[in-house]
Formats: sequence, structure tokens, C-alpha cells
Amino acid sequence: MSQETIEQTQTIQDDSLAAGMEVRNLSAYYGDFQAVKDITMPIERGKVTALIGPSGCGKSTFIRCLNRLHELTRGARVSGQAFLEDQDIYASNVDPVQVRRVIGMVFQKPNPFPMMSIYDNVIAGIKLNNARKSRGELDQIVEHSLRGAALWDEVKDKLDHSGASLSGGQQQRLCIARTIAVEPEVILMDEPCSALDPIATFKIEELIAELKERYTIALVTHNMQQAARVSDFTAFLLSGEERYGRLVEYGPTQQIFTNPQDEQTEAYITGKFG
Amino acid sequence: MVSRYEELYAAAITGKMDRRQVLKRAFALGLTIPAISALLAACEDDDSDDSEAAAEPDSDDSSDDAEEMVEEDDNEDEEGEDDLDDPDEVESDLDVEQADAFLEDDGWEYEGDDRIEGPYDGESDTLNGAGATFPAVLYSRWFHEYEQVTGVRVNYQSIGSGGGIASISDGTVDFGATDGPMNDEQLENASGGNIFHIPVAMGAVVPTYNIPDLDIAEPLRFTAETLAGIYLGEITEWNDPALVEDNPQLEDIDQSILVVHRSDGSGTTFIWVDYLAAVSEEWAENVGVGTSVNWPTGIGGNGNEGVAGEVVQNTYSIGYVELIYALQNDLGVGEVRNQAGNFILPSTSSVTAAAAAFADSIDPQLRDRIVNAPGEDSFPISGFTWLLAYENMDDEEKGIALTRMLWWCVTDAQRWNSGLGYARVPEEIVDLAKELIQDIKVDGEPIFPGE
Amino acid sequence: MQQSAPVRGSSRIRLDVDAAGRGDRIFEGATKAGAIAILALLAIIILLLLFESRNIFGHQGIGQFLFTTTWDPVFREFGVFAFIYGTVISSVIGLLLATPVAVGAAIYIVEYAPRWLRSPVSFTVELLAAIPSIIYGLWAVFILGPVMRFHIEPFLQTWFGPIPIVGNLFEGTPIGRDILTAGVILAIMILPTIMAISREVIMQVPDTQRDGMHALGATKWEMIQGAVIPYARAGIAGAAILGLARALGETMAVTMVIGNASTSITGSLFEPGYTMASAIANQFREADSQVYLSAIIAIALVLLVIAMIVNILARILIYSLVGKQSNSSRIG
Ligand SMILES: Nc1ncnc2c1ncn2[C@@H]1O[C@H](COP(=O)(O)OP(=O)(O)OP(=O)(O)O)[C@@H](O)[C@H]1O
Ligand SMILES: [Mg+2]
Repeated sequence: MSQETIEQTQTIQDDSLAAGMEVRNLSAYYGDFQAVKDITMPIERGKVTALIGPSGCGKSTFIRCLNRLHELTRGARVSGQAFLEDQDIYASNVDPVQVRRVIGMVFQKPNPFPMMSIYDNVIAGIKLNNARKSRGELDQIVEHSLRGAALWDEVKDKLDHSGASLSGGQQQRLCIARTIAVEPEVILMDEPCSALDPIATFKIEELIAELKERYTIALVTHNMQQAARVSDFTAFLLSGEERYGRLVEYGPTQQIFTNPQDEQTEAYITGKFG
Repeated sequence: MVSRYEELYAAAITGKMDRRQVLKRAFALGLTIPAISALLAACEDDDSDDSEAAAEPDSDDSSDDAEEMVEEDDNEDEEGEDDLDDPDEVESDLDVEQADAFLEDDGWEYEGDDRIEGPYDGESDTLNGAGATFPAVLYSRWFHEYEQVTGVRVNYQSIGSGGGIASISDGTVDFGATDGPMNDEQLENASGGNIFHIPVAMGAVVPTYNIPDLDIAEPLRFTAETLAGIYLGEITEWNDPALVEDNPQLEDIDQSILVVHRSDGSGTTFIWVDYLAAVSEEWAENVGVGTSVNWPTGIGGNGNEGVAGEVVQNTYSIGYVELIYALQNDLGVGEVRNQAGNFILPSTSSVTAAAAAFADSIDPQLRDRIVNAPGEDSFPISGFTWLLAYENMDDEEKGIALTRMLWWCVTDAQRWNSGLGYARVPEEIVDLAKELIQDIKVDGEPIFPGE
Repeated sequence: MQQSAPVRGSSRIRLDVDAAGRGDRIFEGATKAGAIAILALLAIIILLLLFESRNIFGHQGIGQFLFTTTWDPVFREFGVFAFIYGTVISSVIGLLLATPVAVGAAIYIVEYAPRWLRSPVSFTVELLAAIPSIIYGLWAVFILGPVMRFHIEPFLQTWFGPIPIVGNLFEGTPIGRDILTAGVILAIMILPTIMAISREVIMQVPDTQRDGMHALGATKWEMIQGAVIPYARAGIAGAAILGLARALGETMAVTMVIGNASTSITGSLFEPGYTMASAIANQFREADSQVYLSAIIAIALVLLVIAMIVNILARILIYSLVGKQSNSSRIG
């Protein structure tokens, strides 16, 4: 991340509004297989953008491109551009590690680090940033992040327990806490509730609503109601005959769910396929 | 190696060395059999040049002769199997195991008229034995021959002296074999009563060393004092004055001595430390005698191969091995000063001489050790290897078969000893052994039926 | 309703026949018998060793046997401590040298190596495990020994010799027949075991763990340190313990290079040593008295006990490592 961007992000943080993204002509491949083709869409700053589409259409692939995680898969590659504010994260001079520090991600399956305590899980990202923080500062960050992830009250007395000792829903919120502990600009969420029961799901949804105050969020979901409830914008992806996923329709959530422009979108949200 | 060989070849062809000298050097160098054959051929060549020069002016022919000679030897090698049936051919049978034959096989034959012949009525047709590994090569030859002579099949398992003693003690075999005599405790523990020790062959343990700077043809000379000093860890440098006194060539060898000993228990070690204890009070008191001891210094190698290997591998080392191993491994073999004050190069005849020197004083049970023997020509680090048999047996057939077999071993069978690198038991000792054999009893009656 | 139920039950759906249960019981019985047989075998081995070694403990105290260093068959003094020392130190050296290399290789193969290189490298390393130990021994005698004697040991002596305390480890004349050389050959011998198991364990680390660490902005190495190694830690420890167990019992190759001498324990790694397994192998055959023989069998007993202690410690270690993540079922 260049000096410029750091300054920029700081100004934005000061404004307490995160940076947005702009994806242009993004294609993703697994070896010879093209999983996603030519997607162009924005991820609006400070908003929740939902990504929906039938299984296998490339949602996960696409969202993993947004923090350059996709390229870590053996044989995988990406073409196109994705701007964080005015910086193309795929520009040749950009270090993907820095990209991931400002664009965090929460995964479908809760993945706390089992060998670390809850406390250490939260500060795992901070430690990577080489920041020398006092114990007091760290304590503050842990509490702040866990509160931010609506988990503080449940775990404050057992911070030294293993991250794996929590329930699935708690684990997922711990993952959110660890993501927000590093103060990213954007949080990517790939079906964060799919492994959770309705109550835990509800808590996460509430949390997302709170988080968008300060972070830009992209959310993959299979749950139409969820998309409708929490997102401001929705993108519908589909892989047709061609086998690769493409963007069929993008717009404000309201519009996509009430007045879709594309008949495939309509068919999908009304449950006709997928 | 190659250059030494070439030197030797030159010496042979020019007649500077006679056949016997060439052989001695060749063995000391550890040359391969084909190489030795070629050297011998060269000697032969030389002889024929002398005697046939007038008759055969064409010199090409004589070199053809040499080639033919080598070929002949090869052929006989291939026919080795057949040779086994005819002991007289041993001499021409070139084989690593029998390398020593050229040196020492003097065509000795047993001259007594009490030869064992067979088959014999009333004797068991099989005998089972187990024990020492050192004489195993000799025994397998013997027992092969013995079956031809008498039809009695002798099975021998070379499981080690300790195992041989244990087996005869529990009575699981008809006879045992050992390189070190049974001690009093072991004799007491034997289930079947008193056990006789019948000496059937002799071996020598020789100091071997690796000092690349020295000329191998000029062996180092050791004394009781220097060997004990080295193995006690008191002499640690090759240019120690005590060593230099007898070996001026060590003057400039400013290197510490790497001492190598056996790591496994063995009769070889027994004879070696028996000698050291006989000549050094300090050794006798602090280390003592056994098949394995608490070594004051040095590193251990497993088996003769292990010790020889360590010595070859490590320059400025000294070790001790069976005579035959030293001959087979391009190792320098040291001379050792005997009681009479002569430095003796180990050989099968100097070993036999050592035992003969003891003939008058030896305990009639023949369990005595014979290190540090008196006598002008005795090699002082020599020892017997024994067959073990119960004084009182209960099976008459086995008794007859065993006593006949033992008798044969100390008489007729001795002719194979030197050919295979083992020293013969001197006749004085054989006479004592015969008395023991005649004393083996079944139901209180001596069982040996005579020839 | 109550009347019709039994009729239907007996006609179509049979719940009373225990066919599957019988098979289960047979299988359970067979496995139980196997388990008991193994335990019984272990018990028999221990009892047999105890029985056969009884003479030595009548001859001298167990304390003298375990904690003195004089092993003198001639004067019947049997102190096994130098053998224990040689065994433990050479094995630990082997472990310390092998583990980082093995784990490093495993990490390389799983995390870094291009796909086409994976199999050849793994295959080659595993092939090392199939080499009989006598071959390692010969290699050690002819290649490793001289290299240690003329290059590595003088090098260590020059550089570390002058340092206080550490220097003690490298005292004496390098001869290449010593505890260090034995440790090095052991390291090479246990390397494939540790490598192969570590590789399996590292491959078992879920990609979600890697993604999780990457998504926080970890570099590859930070990811490996922060996610892969901790997750695989227990398994790697297990791999190392298996390696250690092999090292403790290894006989042939060690016997060929350790020097088979136990004159004194100076703390120097350049000192020839002796291991328990070597002592047994070397001396068992020619042991010429009851006490001597039972002393050798008692070495076997001590070796067995030490091997068991190592295993128990290993278990404790692994449990303590795994314990932190208590009821997670992910690490088996
Ligand atoms: N590691 C991989 N290697 C090769 N192909 C892959 C890989 N991962 C995904 N794919 C393929 O890429 C396409 C898109 O997969 P992706 O996981 O992005 O779908 P998705 O929309 O997230 O599906 P779901 O809703 O089931 O999670 C699919 O055809 C899939 O088979
Ligand atoms: Mg997906």
C-alpha cells in the first residue's frame, strides 16, 4: 500500500466512512477453466452489497478476487481490474499482502485458529502488522473488536480459552471480531451464516447492519430474505450454458427484488430455478 | 597399490626375489588372487628363462607360458568343488581363504598308524555341534571330509564361543566349540558334569596398524611393554620413545595413536588381553582377561572385519585381528617380541611353535592358555581353539562317534589347518589330547574304540 | 390400533432379529482379542526380561546398575549409565538435527513446491526410509565418518571450541567415531519418517485455516507460522517422537560409527560412545557368565523402559499441545 493510500484511508477513517470498490472487466480462472467472466460492478462505500446466484455460478470465486485471495489457489489467475478508491489492487506494483490487510474476509465455515486463545485470535491480524502495542492497547482492541462483533458479553470471562471452544455462531462472530480488529476498509463475507442456526444468523445480520456504518461490505448469500433484509445493493451472477459465471444484473436491492430488469433474475428470486 | 604391485612384479621378473619372497610380499600387500597368479607366473617365467634359455631361443614363447599358467589356475578355481574330494590338490587351489596355503602348506601329513577310517559299526551317523566362529571355515572343510571318510554327518553351527559353551552346558549339542577356555563357574554350571577341552587348531592375534608414511615391507616391531602401554592409553603418540627405540622409522611420525579394539565379545579379544595381562601387571590388575573387557581407551569395531575396517579407514590407528584377516586386508602386520627376545612375524608355523614350547608344562586338561610362550620361534600372541565334550556321556552310539571324530580332528584332519590359515596343534599336545579322548566314558567305561 | 400394530410388525417390519448385532459382536470380539493379545505380549516381554535379568539385581544394587558408568565384564561391575547417556544423547542430536530439516522439507513440499516436483521429492525422501540400516552404516563408515573427522568436526572445534560451556561439546581429537557422528547418521535415518508424517499432517491442515490467516494480511511465511505450524504442531510432535523412538532402538548403523567405547562421560560430542542397543548387539553372543548375561538383558529392560517413558512423555506433550483447543474435533 502506497503512502498515499494510507493517508487516504486515514482521512476516510476520520470521516468514519470506509473506502468503496469498483470492479472492471474482472475474469477469474482455475487453470484453463474460466470460472468468472468480465464482471464490472461497484461495491459502494459504507453499504452492503449482496452477491446472489445459483450454486457454482462463481460467487465465491468472484469475492475471493476482491482481496486477491483467489490467486493463492494453485493454478488460479485473474484478469481485469478492481479499484479500491483510486488504486487498482491488481496493478503490478501492489503487494497482495497489503491489499488483504485493508480488505478483510469472513468465510462460510467459521475458521478461528484452534491453537490460539480467543484473545490471541482477535489480535492475530494486529500481530502480523508488526505494530508494537502495549498490553493495555491490545486489551482495548480486543474488547472493542469483540463488542463490535457482539461477542464480548459471552466471552469476556474466558478470553484465554481456545478459539475452537466456542459454538459455531460464536466462532463466526469471533472471526468477524478478528477481521475488524485490524480496521479494514472492506469486509468480504462468503455465506457467513450458512453453517448457523436462525438465532445465530439473526445476530450476524444485526451485526452486519451495524458494521456497515463503518465498513464497506460485500456479502455472498443463498438466502434471498437475508439479501433483501441486510443489503443495499444486489448483484445477480449466473453461469449458463457457457459454464462461466457472469453478472446478469446489478442494482439497488429494492429494485432487484421488486422489479428485476432481467427475466433470469426474476426467475431466480422467485425460486423458479437454482 | 598398483605401483607396489609393479615394483613387486619387477622384482619377480628380474629374479631379485624368489617365489617365496614374492608370495610373502604379495600377501602382505593384500593382492588379489589373479594378481598373485600373475606374479607367480612371472617367477616361473624367470626360472624357465634360466633353465630353458638355450633350448628355447624364442622369448615370446616363454611369456605365453606365463599366460597359460594364469589360465590354468583360473580353471582350477572353477573346479574348486571337485577339489574338495581330493586333499592333495589343495596346494594348487588358489582361493582367498587358502591364501596362506602357499606360505605354509608344507605338505604335512599325519604319520601315525592310528588313522580313523569308517564306517564303524555301532556309531551314530550324525553329530551336532555349535560354537566358535573363528574356526568355522576349517570345521566345515573337516566335517565335509569326515563324512567322506566315515559316513558320519557332523552338523556345525557357528554361533559364537559363548553360544557353544551354553549349548554344551545345556546338553543341546553333542559337542561345543570355543576360542576361550571355559572358566570354573561355567564348568560348574554344565549340566552333564565335567567337560574336556580338546585343542584342535591354533590361531594368532596380530597387531595391525595404518601409518601411510611407512614402508609396508618393513614391519613395526612391538614389545609387550609397548603394546600394553598403547592399549592402556599410556603410550598415545606414535613417536613415543618406547616405540621409537625399536622402530627408528617412527621418529618423525608425530601423530596420536587411534586405538581400535573389538566391540563384540570374542576369542580374539580373549587371546589379545590374555597376552597383555601376562606381560603387564597393570593390565592384569585393572583390566583383566575376558572375551570382552572394560577398555581403558580406544574405539570398538565389530568383528575382525570391523577392527580391520576401522584400521584401514583411520590413519595412524592400531588394532588387533586374526592373522588371516590381516593378510587379506592390505594391512601392516607388526612383529612382536617374544619371551626369548626375538621379534617374530606371525605365521602359522610360529604359532605352532608357541604351543610346542608349552608341551612340558601344560596342564593335562589342556585348558591352559599359551600366550607369551617361551621358545626362540614362538609367536607370543597365540591360542588354541577347542572342541568341548563331556567326560561322561550316556549315549553309547554318540560316544563312539564323537570320540572317533575328535581323534580324527587331532590327527588326520590337521593336514588342512595351515592350508586354511590355521596353525596345527603340535604333536606333543596332540598326544595329550589323545589321552583325554581315550578318557571319555559311557557308563563309566572308556568308549573310544581305537582306530 | 393396539391390535393391528403387532400384526403389521410381525408380518413386514422385523425389529427383533439381531442379525447385524451378531456380526458386530464377532467383530468386536476379534478386535478385543487383538488388543488383549498385544497387551499380553508386552506384559510377557517385560516379565521375561525381568525374570532373565534377576541375577544382576541379586549381584549388585539397581542404583549401581543404573547410575554408574563402569561396565566391566571381567570384574563383574555393570553400570549402564554410559550406555543410557550415549543412547539418549545421540538420539536427541539426531532428533534436533532431523526435525527442522524434515519439517522444513515437508512445508516446502506442501506449501511451496510446484505440483510437478511434489511427488518426486516425496518419493525420494521416502525411499530413504526403505534403505536397510546396514547400508546407512556402511555409508557412515566410508563417507560420513571421514567428512566428520576431517571437515565438520575441525570446523566446529575452530568456531565453537573457544566459546565457554558450548566449547566443551567440541573438545578432544576428532576421529569421526563419536556421539556426534552417530547423531548425524541417526538424523539422516529418521528424517524420512519425520518428513513423511509431517507432510501428511501439514496436508491435513484445512485450507480455511490458510485462507483465514491470509485474509488478515499475512505473508506466506506468516501464514505458515501462524496457521499451518500451530495447527499441525501436535502431529509434527508425534512425527518427531516416532523418529526418536526409531533412533533409540537403532542398532546397526550406530554401532558402526559411535565408537563402541564408554571410557568416560566428558560431555564432549567428539567422545566415542556406546548405546544400549549396540551394547546388547555386541556383547550378547559371547557373554560368558550368568551375571554378565543377565546384565545385558537388564540393558534391554532399561531400553524398553526408556522407550516407554519417551512414549508416555510424548503422549503428555501431544495432549498438552492439543489440549488448548479442548473440544475441537478437528485434530484427531
Ligand atoms: N479450486 C478450484 N479449482 C477448480 N475449479 C474450481 C475451484 N473452486 C471452484 N471451482 C469451480 O468454479 C466454479 C465457481 O465456483 P464457486 O465456488 O465460485 O461457486 P459458488 O457460486 O461460490 O457456489 P456455492 O454457492 O455452491 O458456494 C464452479 O464451477 C466450481 O466447480
Ligand atoms: Mg461459494
